Amino acid sequence: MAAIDPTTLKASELAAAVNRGELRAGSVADHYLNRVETLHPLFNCHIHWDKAEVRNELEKQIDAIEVARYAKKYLPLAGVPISIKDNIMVEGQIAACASRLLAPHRAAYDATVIQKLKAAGALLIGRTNMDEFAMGSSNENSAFGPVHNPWNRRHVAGGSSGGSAAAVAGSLVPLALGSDTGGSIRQPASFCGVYGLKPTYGRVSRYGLVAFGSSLDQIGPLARNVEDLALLYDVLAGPDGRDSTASQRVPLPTQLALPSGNLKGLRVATIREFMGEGLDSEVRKSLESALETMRQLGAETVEVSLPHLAASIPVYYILATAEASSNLARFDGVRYGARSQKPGLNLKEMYLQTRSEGFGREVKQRIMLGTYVLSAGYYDAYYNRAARMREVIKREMEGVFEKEGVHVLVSPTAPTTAFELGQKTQDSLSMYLSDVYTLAANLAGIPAMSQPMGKDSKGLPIGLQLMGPSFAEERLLQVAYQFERHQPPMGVPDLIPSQL
Amino acid sequence: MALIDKAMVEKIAALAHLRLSEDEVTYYQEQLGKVLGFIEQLETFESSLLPSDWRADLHLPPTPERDDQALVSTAMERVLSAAPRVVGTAFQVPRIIE
Repeated sequence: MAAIDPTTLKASELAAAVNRGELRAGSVADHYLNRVETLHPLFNCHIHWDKAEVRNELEKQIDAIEVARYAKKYLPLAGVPISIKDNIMVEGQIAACASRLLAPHRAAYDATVIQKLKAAGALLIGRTNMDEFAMGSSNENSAFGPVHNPWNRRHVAGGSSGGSAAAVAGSLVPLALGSDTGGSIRQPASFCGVYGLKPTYGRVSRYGLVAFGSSLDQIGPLARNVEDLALLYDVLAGPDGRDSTASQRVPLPTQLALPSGNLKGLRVATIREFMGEGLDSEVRKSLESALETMRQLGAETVEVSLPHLAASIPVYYILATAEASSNLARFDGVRYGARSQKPGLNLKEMYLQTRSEGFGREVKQRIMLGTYVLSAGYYDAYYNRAARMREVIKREMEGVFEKEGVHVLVSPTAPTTAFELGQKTQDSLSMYLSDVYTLAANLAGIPAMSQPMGKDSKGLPIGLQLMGPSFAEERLLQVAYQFERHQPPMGVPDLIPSQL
Repeated sequence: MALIDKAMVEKIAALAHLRLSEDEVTYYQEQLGKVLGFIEQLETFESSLLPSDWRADLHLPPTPERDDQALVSTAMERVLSAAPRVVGTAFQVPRIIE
């Protein structure tokens, strides 16, 4: 049997080869663990990635995959390596949320998505770096150092799922899990030139995801092509009795191929309010070219106006920080993670000291902002007003799909390509403004994804965002699949050695 | 004119169980001031899409709840193992009554 290089295979092909016995899960694990170990110093994608420890943890899973093969039971992710964002629980593994405060914290249970991945035959290869508690847009707010963009190490990988996106872009793993509260899957996917999907709120269980903004958070897949993205999404989606916000609707497996193989009959809309100030000219040009491709495939392209989307940033940063200030109140040195070692503290002093030592700068800022908008005298002016405006944004977006007959909304995923490391770290507001196109989908609870649509003159990837009505993930994936087939492949970043 | 003064930063930090150094107070006064200044623009948005008395806490459908059901849990040992300090089956905290 000729040796197969697992890196050259899609996740779907890899799973098929392992199910057929042409590849052994153990050798796939060794191959990818070597890649993670070799490439870690370049990109800092992973937090927990010790080769021997991970290999040891995988033994049971590798045995289970072999048993399934002998029993002729097809596992959709048999032997497929996947890295997990550091805010998702895997029993017995460190789940630090890239925070000093949780650095020693070992998860007591598996998240629902982890149980599903294990049952599907996936190999969990390490924990990916992220902005602390998923708060950030550049992966520079990590207690474990920033992630470097595989296309140019001087640039950010995006955030907060920067480690997941960079690991997939650099082929350290074929698949990764991220979480998206305001764009945290889509924006790093855009910056790193990979595919990332934020499902409809409630489509994927949040049980075992460390909460940031509970009404906005969703776990989702990252991959190097649409087929793999859909494969992983199908494994993740579905009801869960342990998450009362998970929808009871049973998802059907995604069918990527459109009957006609084109986009005839599809009404695609751009958003006028997203095409103005702040949009980089190269990104705009790339979007125009993507729209032309869609028209050539038979789609009708129109422009719609959603005037209240301009309120997305203030609404999001009020609601998300309000929820975060409540969710992060539980980290006080009593039940999880680290406790201040300073001697002679009473209980209240211990809380203060532990939180002040453990949380990073941005997390403290967001907790304080959330505390402020919820405090007596400010609640109506901030929180209540923002909650009202969120409902307006939601109704406005639903109206575009229901009344104007739009099937898919498109925009750039981010107004620019990946910015340089350190460029925005001293100005929170300018960092927040970089989320301008992604926040609305979280506020409205609708599905949205990012896919590559080209590169800028510096060779940095540009992302196309697709948004659809609730539970229309399949439509987004179908459109993305057709678009992908008519795009030049992203290729492999020059920084990745050809022989590994 | 700063939207937020140092005393307010210290008050919020205390409410949030955070202790800040003087440098941090200065830093957050500037950053929070900028962000709150930006957020103020929300006042300019209103919409006829919602009645004026619409409130999220009153008008959004409640999160569905499941029936209470007693189940045997074997999680105690694992949960306790994640805590910084434990005595028997309890989380240990510093002495409260001196």
